[in-house]
Amino acid sequence: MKTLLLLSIFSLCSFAKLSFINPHIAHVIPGSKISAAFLIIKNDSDKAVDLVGVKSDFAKVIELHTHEMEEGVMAMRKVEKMTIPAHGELVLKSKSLHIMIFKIQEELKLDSKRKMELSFSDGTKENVDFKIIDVYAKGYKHP
Amino acid sequence: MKIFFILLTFIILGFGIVYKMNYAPTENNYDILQANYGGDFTLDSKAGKISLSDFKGKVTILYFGFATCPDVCPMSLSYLSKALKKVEGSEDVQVIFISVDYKRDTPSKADNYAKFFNKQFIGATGTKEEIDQVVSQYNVYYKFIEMPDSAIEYTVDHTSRFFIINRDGKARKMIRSDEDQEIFIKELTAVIKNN
Repeated sequence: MKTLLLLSIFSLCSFAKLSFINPHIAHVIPGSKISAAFLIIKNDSDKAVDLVGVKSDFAKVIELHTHEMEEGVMAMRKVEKMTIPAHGELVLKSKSLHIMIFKIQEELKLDSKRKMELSFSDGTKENVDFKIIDVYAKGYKHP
Repeated sequence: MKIFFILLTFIILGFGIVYKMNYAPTENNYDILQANYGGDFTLDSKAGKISLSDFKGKVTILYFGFATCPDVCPMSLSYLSKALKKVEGSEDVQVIFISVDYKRDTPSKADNYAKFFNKQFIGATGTKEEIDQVVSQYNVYYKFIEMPDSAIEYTVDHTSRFFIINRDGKARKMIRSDEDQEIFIKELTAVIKNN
């Protein structure tokens, strides 16, 4: 009975099973201190979870943003959270939902990897390696 | 009964022809020659004042954006740079990136931003009055949107389109920056060949 109770509590507290596909940061344009990061987050659990924040030691501010294109006009807006549906995925890509990186404090070398800490609504945090990619090069495809 | 079916066939065919005439894509979908867009303008570049008329004899492409734009402007300028490599005669095409963010961007900043994508590109900006004048000529929308809760402080909503200007300085084509690249190449090639 005790074991059953413990199992039930464990089950109630279970966290989303997340996986991170193709995490990358756009190569920073010389003279600029901003960039954007993209990836796919897969959720293999029965519960939806929100991405609520991102932190890193190489940039002072990181925010969640979206882009909307209406009648040829592009508008970027900050969002507070992005939902990863149960047994679904969240795609962060160009001209859509993305992670905005401001006040970059150091050079992000092409092809190197930098860690970012992703925070989720269930209280979990994940350290994810993002590769610095020339997203403007021929052959690049967003997730 | 036979007559009824023959009539029905004609009616269906008739609808089909009318639909095709109204909705089939035409070659002039992107043509703005008759729309009275465009005209000469003068802005500030890194090298000093530039006017569209300075580029008479060349095909010119204008793109309006801002240098703090993290995604759409870089992707659009990158799209242009890649597309130009596939177009015969593109060595004679001048791209001008016009920053509408006169508050934050200097001519030098706009130029460095543009040149990151292609060394032949030119970046330019101007005073509020100069920007308002050129956007009104090209029917381009831009608006500063305050973002007090964001590090960017304000963003700029803006039209993301390419304007292809012919060798006489006339605005010939307007193409969305997310248009299929093959269509862009076809439209640009048409202006290079036929002005």
